[in-house]
Amino acid sequence: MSEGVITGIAALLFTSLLVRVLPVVYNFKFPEGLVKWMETILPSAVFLNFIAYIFLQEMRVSAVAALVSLGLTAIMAYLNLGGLFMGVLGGCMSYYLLTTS
Amino acid sequence: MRDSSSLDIAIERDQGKASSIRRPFLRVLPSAITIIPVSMLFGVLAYRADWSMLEVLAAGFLGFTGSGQFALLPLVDTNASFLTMLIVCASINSRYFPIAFTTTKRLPKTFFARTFVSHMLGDEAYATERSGDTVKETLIIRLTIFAFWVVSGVIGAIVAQVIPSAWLTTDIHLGFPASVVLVHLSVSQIKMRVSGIFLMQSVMVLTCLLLATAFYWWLGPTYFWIPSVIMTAVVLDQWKKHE
Repeated sequence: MSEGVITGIAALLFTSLLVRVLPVVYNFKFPEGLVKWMETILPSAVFLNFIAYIFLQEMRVSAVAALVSLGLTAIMAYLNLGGLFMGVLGGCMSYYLLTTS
Repeated sequence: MRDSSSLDIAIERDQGKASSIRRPFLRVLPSAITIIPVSMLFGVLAYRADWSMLEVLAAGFLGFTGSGQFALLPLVDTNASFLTMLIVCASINSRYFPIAFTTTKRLPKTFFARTFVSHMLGDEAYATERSGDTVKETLIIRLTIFAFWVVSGVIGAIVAQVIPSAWLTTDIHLGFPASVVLVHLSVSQIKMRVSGIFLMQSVMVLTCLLLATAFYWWLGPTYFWIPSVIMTAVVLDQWKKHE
């Protein structure tokens, strides 16, 4: 293994320990209200930011195709049309058609 | 008669065990399949940057993080310091800090198992998990995504040995299916979580999306996560209180 790659892998591992392991192994003492807030409000905030982030990132590659195909997927998910498989298929197919036409 | 009923109970128990493994596995399988091309792409690019198979395997296993791994490739290439790599990787993945907090109740109690399962936390796994999932279901969901990611990365490095370099310059967007899956899972989760809690849900969702967009443009895709998630949560909290 080269030194640069070992350093890089060590940085990734340390990152994982910091952002994923530390919050669950260290017994942080939070007030009950904050714990309830983290269990109910925070996940919704994370998912809303996921959506904004993915739309904006993909629109940097192909604005119209990403907007239409991800929008279609979001609508299919909201209306529960065809489940995850059909939603993903619809999104990918429309993206492919829009980017190759 | 008693032997027969004991056998029936044993069969039912075995079926129950198989079902408790199969159900979360089938739930996460579509997401796991869509990350294959993304992870393979990492393997291909790492191999092209002179990484060995063992290094690709170690990066996937020890440093399991999609965007972080891709960001690392040019940093390793330019001999960046450990601190630089750590700051970049931690910034990109800072969203996991609040996310990890919300999953503590469905993790194993023992230290090493808890550490390993939390290390396997990924966006797709988090979006697939439900708050009522058991420790076993959480483990299966995370392990499936993790195994698909690590193995696909190595397969990508193997494939890179045999495919012509010219194929890698095409404009195929391999990461798009993974983005589609995350959008689908996120919309499903939001629909489930906000239903009946907020008034004017469409306006609330639109407001939060616009807020996240503003933070994204202001701070950029790397640094917007923590402030944007916190502000979105504050808006959601206020919206709930004022209904």
